[in-house]
Amino acid sequence: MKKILFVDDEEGMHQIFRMLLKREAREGLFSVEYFTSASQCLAYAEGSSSLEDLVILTDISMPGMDGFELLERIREKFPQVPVVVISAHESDVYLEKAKRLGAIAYLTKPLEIAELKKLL
Amino acid sequence: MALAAGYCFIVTMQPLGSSDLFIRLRTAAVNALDLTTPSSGSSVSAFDGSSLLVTGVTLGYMLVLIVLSWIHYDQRRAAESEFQQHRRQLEGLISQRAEELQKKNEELEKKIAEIRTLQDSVVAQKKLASLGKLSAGIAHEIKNPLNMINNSAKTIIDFVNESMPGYVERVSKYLERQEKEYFLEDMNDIKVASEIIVANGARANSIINNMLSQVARRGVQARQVGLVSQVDESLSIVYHTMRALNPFSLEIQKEYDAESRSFNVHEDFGRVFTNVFENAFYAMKEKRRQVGDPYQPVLKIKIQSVPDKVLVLIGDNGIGIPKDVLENVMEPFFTTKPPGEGTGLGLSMVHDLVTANGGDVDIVSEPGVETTVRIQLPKRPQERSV
Ligand SMILES: Nc1ncnc2c1ncn2[C@@H]1O[C@H](COP(=O)(O)OP(=O)(O)OP(=O)(O)O)[C@@H](O)[C@H]1O
Ligand SMILES: [Mg+2]
Repeated sequence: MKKILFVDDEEGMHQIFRMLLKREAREGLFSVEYFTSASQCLAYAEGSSSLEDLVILTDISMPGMDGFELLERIREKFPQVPVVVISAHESDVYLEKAKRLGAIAYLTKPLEIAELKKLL
Repeated sequence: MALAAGYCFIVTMQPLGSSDLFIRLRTAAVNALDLTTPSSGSSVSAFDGSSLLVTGVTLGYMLVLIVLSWIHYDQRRAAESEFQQHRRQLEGLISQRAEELQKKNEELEKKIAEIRTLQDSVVAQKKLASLGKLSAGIAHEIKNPLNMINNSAKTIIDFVNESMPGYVERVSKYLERQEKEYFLEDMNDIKVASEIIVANGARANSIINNMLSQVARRGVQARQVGLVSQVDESLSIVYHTMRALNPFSLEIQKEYDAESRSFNVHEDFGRVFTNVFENAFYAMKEKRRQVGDPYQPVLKIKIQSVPDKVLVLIGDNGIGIPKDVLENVMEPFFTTKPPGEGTGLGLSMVHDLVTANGGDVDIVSEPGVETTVRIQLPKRPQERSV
């Protein structure tokens, strides 16, 4: 089963993500771990016994380590873990940067259920 | 010699070419030429008496004419010198006028330059005014739909809290175990979602109110608010705006002493702190642009209560302020930002508002290293004059 690591400094986004994918979660397609900072997520990944089924979904703008930095670190340490970048901005600059750093997708808020499903 | 004089004479008399006298003289001159220039074939001894006479008369004429033309020349010289004198006078007059004109011109240019600067500042102020109007207009436009969202979300919360639990209890009696679990979760999520809407609606509202408060709000009753909460609210607004535009990691160190928590300020102080934070974030953003990734921005906020004052210290480790710039930062319209980015009104507004409340602002900075803005506010109540 896939395990999603969802990173956003705003807890409201955790709830929204959970509610959006409630039905799929009930079908047992995946489980989710929520983090309010990139460093928490990184620590979790480092402590994981298996990286096989991990997928990281991260917000960009967060205090402390931001989403791009997390993306870079994950690419370095765990290149097999796919990272999806989420932002409130439809910005080409962000999109380019996310691609360049090796994100598998770039999503904008508000998140769309259809897009999330496609990704999974 | 005579020959030359003859030519000369003929040349001099040219203007009279049509007169009788000239024709006669010319004939005489031609004759004289014949005399002095023996033509090929004619003998030198063949002198004609009448010719001699004519020649004599001609020479006489010529002499008279030479004298006459000398006199004429003399008169002309006199006239010329008179003319030169007039010319010099005229030239003097002209150059005097030219000088006057030059002066007038310079004065005019100065005036034009003055008008230009005046015009520029008027244009700038107008732009500012229309920018203010624009953002106020947009804020109002957003406020209406936002109010509807907030109001509706509140009615959902009321429903969820008051009527729904009863319905849920009655309905869930009829559900299977698993179904019931999902049903309860869904019903709870209605509450969660509406709470998120209400909380974030309030957040958007406060951002908009702050935007509106940037535009003059005369005639509105002043409200006193807690200093600490005002500082935190401004920080949160600036932080969220800044990181939305330009995400970077930032360390925020807060040090608020217990006593300062009871201190209140006029609600306009939101604008004061917002502007100081904006400057700090800008300075750190610039530093990051210059130095790159190894740079770790740190914002330090200290609120301290001393015997009859409260101090607010806002420090950043951004680009700092050079000494010659520091002298001017509180001047209205002084900015080092590229055109269109800064109004240069931030710190002048900060200064005006703080001093109007009996306080004081000063800035210390080590260029390239850090800047600290210190705002001192008196503890005794102050009359507001702005
Ligand atoms: N924390 C700071 N670090 C470095 N320079 C600063 C700082 N605060 C102010 N300054 C300097 O002071 C100038 C004037 O600041 P002020 O807030 O009055 O206007 P501005 O920030 O340029 O424009 P605006 O406030 O409209 O964006 C700035 O352009 C900048 O050069
Ligand atoms: Mg400013």
